[in-house]
Amino acid sequence: MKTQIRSVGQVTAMIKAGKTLLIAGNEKLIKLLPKGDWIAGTTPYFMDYKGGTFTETELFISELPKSIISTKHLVYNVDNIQRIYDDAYNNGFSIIIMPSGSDIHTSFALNCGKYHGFANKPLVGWVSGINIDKAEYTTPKVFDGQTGDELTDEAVVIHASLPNKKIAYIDMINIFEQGESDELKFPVDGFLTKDVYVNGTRKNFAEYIESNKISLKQPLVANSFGARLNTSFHKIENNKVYFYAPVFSNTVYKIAKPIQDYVFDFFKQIPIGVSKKVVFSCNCILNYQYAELEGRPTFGFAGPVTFGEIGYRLLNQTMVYLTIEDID
Amino acid sequence: MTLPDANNPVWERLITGKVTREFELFAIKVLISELKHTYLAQPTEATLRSCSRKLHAFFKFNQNNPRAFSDLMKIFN
Repeated sequence: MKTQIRSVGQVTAMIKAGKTLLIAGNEKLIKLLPKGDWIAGTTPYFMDYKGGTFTETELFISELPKSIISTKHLVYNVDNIQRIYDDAYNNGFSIIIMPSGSDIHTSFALNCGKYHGFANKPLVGWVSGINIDKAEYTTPKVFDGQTGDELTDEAVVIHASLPNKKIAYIDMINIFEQGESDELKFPVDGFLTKDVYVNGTRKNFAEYIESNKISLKQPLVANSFGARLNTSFHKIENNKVYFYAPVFSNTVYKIAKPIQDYVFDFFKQIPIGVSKKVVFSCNCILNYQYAELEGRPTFGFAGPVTFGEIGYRLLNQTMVYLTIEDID
Repeated sequence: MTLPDANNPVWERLITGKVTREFELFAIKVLISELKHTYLAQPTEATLRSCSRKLHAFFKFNQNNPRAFSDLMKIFN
């Protein structure tokens, strides 16, 4: 995998050389780049091979492999995102970046499972964000390198095609599992809630969290028929609980078991040898914060630290990665 | 093995949970989760038929995918 932190000058040279790049970084630096075969999103946090890294003076790039036959860039809004799988190549993969808190983010999170051909073709990506210490002064953005467009309410996608002898896979690492706590259900789908059904009894969720001394570092976990899916807590404000992904009313959740050693638990789940096959990976900002990843090794994985991961659907507090393998 | 056709009752049993398997491919885990939730939200014959066809369509589209084939073997063997 050619994933690395580079200066604007170095990235410019790679773009001019015709490389296909996924770029993450500060918007002021991204705006300096020439047009080309790239898409980008904003975040100042990264997993570098040397460890978790914060920088607003360099860009992070993942170069897509030469085995790709062709690429096409498409920009999606809430009215056309439904056709994303129809637009993807029959053999290949698609990488999507969308701005955190945007309409497309909300719409995708709530509705992606209903898209025609859902999960039939590999879709991976991330939700762009901001420097959380400067949240009042900036908004998450994405960029389409082909046009140079800067977007705050659309998703950018590179659809890539592969030869018949290659195949792309998406996988997820999730260290969380359901604890022994109460069964929690929510009255409506959405990114926030006032109430929760605790073992069938309706209560105020903020009060439930406080009275049970639940740490907001522990996500809600749905054991969704073999797929453990997290919904992370964002904040509690005005007696309402906000999430980084929506809760769904027809899903049973439990609070995650506490984590003893965040980094150890995370990286012991990585399949042996897989990091050499990874073309793209991303990790959640909450893993970066709670595991105190800055300056700590990330065990062969590199990529943007994100405000939501996408592996077919919106994911929280996971690491998601794309591999390309040979078909015998 | 060849892909059983869309009318095979096993597809519906996977959606209703009467048949369960531990799948390897992340895409199948996510897809089945979605289809089961769709069915639970509206448990009608029409929903079940629609969901089982989507599941069959996944395997038909991914016939050359070794991990999907491995999961297909788990369903029917």
